[in-house]
Amino acid sequence: MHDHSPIGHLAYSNRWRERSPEEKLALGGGLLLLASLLPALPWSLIIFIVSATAALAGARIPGRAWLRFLAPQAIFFTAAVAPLVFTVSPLGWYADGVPRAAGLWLRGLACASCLSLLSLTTPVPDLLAVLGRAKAPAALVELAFLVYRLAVSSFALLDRLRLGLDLRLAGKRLTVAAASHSAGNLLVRGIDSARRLERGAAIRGVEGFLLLPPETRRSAPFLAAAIGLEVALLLGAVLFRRSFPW
Amino acid sequence: MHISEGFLPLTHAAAWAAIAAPFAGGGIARLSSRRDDRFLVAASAGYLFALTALKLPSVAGSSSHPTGVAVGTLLAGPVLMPALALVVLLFQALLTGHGGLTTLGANLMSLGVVGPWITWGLWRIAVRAGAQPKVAVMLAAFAGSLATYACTAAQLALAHPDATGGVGGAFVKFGAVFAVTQVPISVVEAVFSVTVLGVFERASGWAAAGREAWVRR
Repeated sequence: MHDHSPIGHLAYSNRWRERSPEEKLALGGGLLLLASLLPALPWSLIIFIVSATAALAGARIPGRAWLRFLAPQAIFFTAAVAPLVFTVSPLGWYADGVPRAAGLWLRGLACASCLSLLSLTTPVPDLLAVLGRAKAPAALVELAFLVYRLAVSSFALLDRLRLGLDLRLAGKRLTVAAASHSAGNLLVRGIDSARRLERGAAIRGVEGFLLLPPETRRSAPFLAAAIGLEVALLLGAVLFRRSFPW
Repeated sequence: MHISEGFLPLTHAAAWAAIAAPFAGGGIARLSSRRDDRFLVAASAGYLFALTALKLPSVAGSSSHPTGVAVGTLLAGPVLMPALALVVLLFQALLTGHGGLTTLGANLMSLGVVGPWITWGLWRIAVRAGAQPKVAVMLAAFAGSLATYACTAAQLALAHPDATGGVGGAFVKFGAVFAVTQVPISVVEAVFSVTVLGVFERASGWAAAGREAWVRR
């Protein structure tokens, strides 16, 4: 099963595709934790550069695709921090608003970059397999897999529903009633599609859903480098805590 | 309503995760015991995923969008909702950059616990008071959507208190910004929920009036 969404396509085609998902989780997840924990300046900036370099130079994610993932987030964060700077009643701005908003913006962007490193290099089924190996509750992993499968197959179904809706509306504006009817149909067909998926797996002798282990290779140097980098960043933050207080 | 990665101090993020964990555990336990309903639960989660992905930027790294909480809660029940919301929030963080992994607990509290229980409580009160099923669903959907956002506003106010008004002042400020977009979105979502459940009712024989018996099975 392949995910043909833009993120899914990149996750299946990047240079780190065959790396173990645990190793990519150690790198992306570790950097994410550090970005949340350490002071925004300069550490969020450093973590942003490190994660961006890993994605662009290491995993060879095309720059344009990486930007397409991060740019909306940057715009989103800009709009989101505005209320921390400006006040409408009375009209003006907060004295400490700009540094506070800039720090939050930078931290948000660094975290989004770490998350993109993980999601653009690791297909969702690989991450679900990690959850399975980590002894996460089977019912939860099964539900997650089913929802993912439904989301992927719903893209095509949604296109067909939208086309049908356009033809019926014939140039008229989409109403709440028409949109909600389509959503209801999607819900009903989604259940049907999931039932057929399980029946197909049962015919092959599989109970529940077939979650294939990813074909990946483990690399001790990669894991050691990821953990070493994170420890170095943490040590740096501890050593320079007087210049950049927590 | 999803609070973005990095917008909550790590201590707050950890505290919300600890508060949300028992609810998530209860939802997962219920999910394991009601395996026959997994298609319905997965489809409800898919609906939640699609609806909550339609986001508008809002205060302090959060967003404004329909919640899908009413359809999810009335189909799957409030106890199951945290498990369902956990999966949805995880996928949104990984696939769309919406929300985050460190803010998962906080987002789970609003989307998976507070919103669903308010929806469920109001729906039960309305039905017992003799309201028509459609009116009960509409009322519950509207209140559930607003309650989800009130919870997010409280979480943000605790994390980013106002310089002069403190936590209370920040709650009013964040709530007021959310209200501009969320009140009309909640009205539309209430109408939307009635139609979606109506389509589902016609296709499957499920009836909003018999909802309680359905969940107790």
